[in-house]
Formats: sequence, C-alpha cells, structure tokens
Amino acid sequence: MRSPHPRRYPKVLSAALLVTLGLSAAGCAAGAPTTTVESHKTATAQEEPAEDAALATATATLEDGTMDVIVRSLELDDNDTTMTLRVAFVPHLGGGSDARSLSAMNNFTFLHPVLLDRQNLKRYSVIKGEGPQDWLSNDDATTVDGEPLESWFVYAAPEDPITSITFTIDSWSVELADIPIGDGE
Amino acid sequence: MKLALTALVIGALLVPTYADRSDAPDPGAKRIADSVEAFSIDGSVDAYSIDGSVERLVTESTDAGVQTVTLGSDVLFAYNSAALDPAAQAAVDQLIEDLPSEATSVSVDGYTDSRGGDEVNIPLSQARAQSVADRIAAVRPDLSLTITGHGSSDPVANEYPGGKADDDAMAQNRRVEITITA
Repeated sequence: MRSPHPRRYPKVLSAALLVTLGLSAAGCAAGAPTTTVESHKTATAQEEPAEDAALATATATLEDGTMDVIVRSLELDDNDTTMTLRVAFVPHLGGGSDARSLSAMNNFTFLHPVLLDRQNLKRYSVIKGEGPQDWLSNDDATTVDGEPLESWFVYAAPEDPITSITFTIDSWSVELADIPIGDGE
Repeated sequence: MKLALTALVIGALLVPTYADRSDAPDPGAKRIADSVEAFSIDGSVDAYSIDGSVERLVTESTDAGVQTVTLGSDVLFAYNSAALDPAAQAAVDQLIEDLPSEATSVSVDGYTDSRGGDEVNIPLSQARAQSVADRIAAVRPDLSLTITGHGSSDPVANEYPGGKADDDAMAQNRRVEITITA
C-alpha cells in the first residue's frame, strides 16, 4: 500500500484515534480492550516505516555534541507529483531531559535537507507553503537527548527517471549518497 | 383619553403577523441583501506548489559575446571534495560537448562559500576548477584553458541576510564558472 500523503496524515491519525476511542468504548462495554490496540497498530503500520528502519545513517558533529541522522525512507506519494522523505534525528547534546525542537538544536534556524540529483545536475528543496509552515513536519516538535525525533519532508517528485538521490544537510556537513526512491507500493 | 392612549401603546407593541405570503410587504433591497451571507473558500486553504522547489544547477548567460556557464558545486562535488562526482561527469561532458565549436579559449573559475576561511577555500576552489578543466581538456583538447580558484570572493548572494546564515545563498556561491571566448 502506498504511503498516505503527509498532509493527510494527521487526518488519518485522527481517524485512527477516533476508531480507537470508539472501539475502546465498545471494548470496555464488551470487555475486550485489546481489540482497540490492534486496530490502532494496523492503522499506523501502513503509514510509516518501522521505527528502526534505516536506509542510511550519519553522525553530525555540532557545537554541543553530536546528532545521529537516520534516513528511514524516501517514497513517491500516490499523487504522483511529490515524494516524502522520513528522517529521524537523535541528539546527543548533553541537554539532559530538556525537550528541544530541531531548530533549537540548529542555532534556531529551520533545518531543511536538500536532495541532489547529480546525474541531471538538479537540486530538490522542501516545498514551500504560502503560509509560515513549509511542507514538512511540525517545526515545534521536540525531543530529548537520546530519543529520536521522527520528521518528514516533502519534495517534488523526480523530474527525470532516477532511482536514487543524494541526501544532504549542508550546515551539518552531512551527505548520504544513493538513497533509493521507493514507488510507494 | 386614557383609554385611547392605552390602545395606542398596545397597538404599537403588537407584532405584525402574516397569515399569507401576500400579507407580507416588500422587504426592500437592503433587507434582502443583508439576509444572504456569502461564504468563500478563499484563504481557507494553504496552497502549496512544487514550482521553484526543483532547481537545475546549470545556468547560461551571454554578455557582449562572452558566454558563461555556471555550475553549482553541490551537484558536482561531495562536501569538501574536489573529485568530480561520477554521476555528474556524464552531464558535465555533455555540457562541454555543447560549447560552441568556434570557441578558442575558456576560463574556469572556482568559488566557495565563506565558511572555513581562505586557507581552506582558495585551494578547494582551485582544485574544483581544475577538476572541471580536466574534463574540458579531455572532451575539447583544442581549447586553451585558464584555471583560477577565487575562494569566497565575488559572492553572488548575501550569505547572512539579517545576520542569520542562509544555506541557499551559500549554495549559490559555491560554483564553477566556465567562460567561453570565441
């Protein structure tokens, strides 16, 4: 099954939660609460890769410590015009239990990975919105030291028949070549 | 007199009722207009467009008969490397083959962003210009080549607008320019 479009994800998740809540209520009445958990798992398992999935990893050295960058997936969306990159960031910055956003860990600058198609000399940037929110996961999402911050970013679908692309975060000197582009099936 | 006044007040307080449609008077244009509230979807959708999110890092310009091809270094070289990426080499070779046949001399100029300082950037920009020049020499051995590394001088974009680092501007400044003279 294709990954749902990120913009739809909150709605899908909301629907899953509603189903879960509904089934929870039913489950309480029927004495079968485990059914609700299975429904929730089924709904989310089709939307995101497994949490431990990793196509490629890198460790960036930042001012306060290091950051593990784990590329989980890059899949074409079923609208045929965009593709979604999912990345986990695991900080090791000595912040203890203080929750911080990705931009706070990046000198209060939003972090937008860039994809490079070197075969065709093209650069793919995160799609920008007309409002303050670009097409990426909530910039205000936070994590604590040692815990992954699961993020997604949306790009235009490749304009050329390529099967892989290079992932870069220039400000962190991170470059991961040959990230395969899945067809979302 | 008192009775007449009471009747007048009661009459004024009576709410008119219309037993039939024909009993109701014409409400007038303003009442009609005010009774309709138009809803618009304008502004309710945050539109996204893929326009501008894909950039080909090759630009060509011609000024007074001098043609310049600018290549973004990011699609040619890995971070801090001067080795031409194998995936990019075929595309670069194609660009070189398309250079005008009447060209006689070519300048290859390398530039970096400002991070790292001249100690790093001047040799890196020189080495990157050399890598591109090596491909030109391989594909067009008839051309006379001049190769220069400029480091971060002559930026084409402001890297710190408002005092904050701008990654896109830095990417624009990392480039190799091929200038062709007939």
